[in-house]
Amino acid sequence: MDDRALMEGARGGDAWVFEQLVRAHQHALVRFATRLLDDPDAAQDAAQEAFLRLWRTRTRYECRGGDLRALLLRIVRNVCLDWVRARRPTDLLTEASDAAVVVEEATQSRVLADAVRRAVLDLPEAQRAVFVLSGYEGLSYAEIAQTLDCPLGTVASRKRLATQTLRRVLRPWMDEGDEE
Amino acid sequence: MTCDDVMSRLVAFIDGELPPRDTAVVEAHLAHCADCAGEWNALRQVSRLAGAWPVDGADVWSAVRREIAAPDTGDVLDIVRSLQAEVRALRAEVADLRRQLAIRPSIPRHTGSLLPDLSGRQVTRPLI
Repeated sequence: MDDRALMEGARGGDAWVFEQLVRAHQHALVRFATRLLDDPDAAQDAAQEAFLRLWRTRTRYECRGGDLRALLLRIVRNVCLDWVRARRPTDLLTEASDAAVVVEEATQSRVLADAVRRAVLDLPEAQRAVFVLSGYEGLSYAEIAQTLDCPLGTVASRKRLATQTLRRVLRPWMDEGDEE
Repeated sequence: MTCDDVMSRLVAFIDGELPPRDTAVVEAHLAHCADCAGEWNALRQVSRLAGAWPVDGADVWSAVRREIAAPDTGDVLDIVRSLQAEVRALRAEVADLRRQLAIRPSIPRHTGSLLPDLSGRQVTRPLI
């Protein structure tokens, strides 16, 4: 059953159909939110909130081909931005010191994973959203433009800037033979 | 296409987002330009390295189900509003009926009670 059929069923209040819709999109939403927030618990809350907002507005929503995922990702991003604004600076400091301890105890692969995580999280939010949707979730530039409600050229430039930043930060892990 | 032109298109080229004509030009340029080819390889490695940060999805349906099973505040408010409108309509209808009764002299004025006024009368119980 595609998104359009699922949404038509959910519109009438059919919880079983809505469950199929949630199960089809929940993992992508949680992964996206986790990479925006670096907090799996908050990411699950954000995904849950996105689905609840869709459920509450289901009678007003008209599903066009392929835009349900874009809508859900957009809602998740907005919830994440609200969450970041509400988070206290002391929370961020505590998490940073915890992360440093983890790095000391980590294996080499975990060091790389943490370096990538920090590099992605350090990107400006707009670039990070584009990089995550493109690099991790496999959305096309057109789908990202629809999700983030911005021009296609903006998506391309944000992806380019993000990739170039990561290229500089992750240089120590690059194969020397492939460098300039 | 100059090296700067190619460099600015490399990420979109790697993502398969360039128009076919630009794709062909970039491919031809990379075949003979070592600098651009080196940058291309470095940028390709970013995608590979990014995969070192795995993130799992999660099942949120149970939590969503609990929420949608709870009474929907919006629905309850709609019902309350509907009932309030119905009460207003009934009140208007009753007021109209009262006015009609008041202007018809042959009908006694309504006492407000649905039972006959038996005050002052002796009530006799039926034998059976």
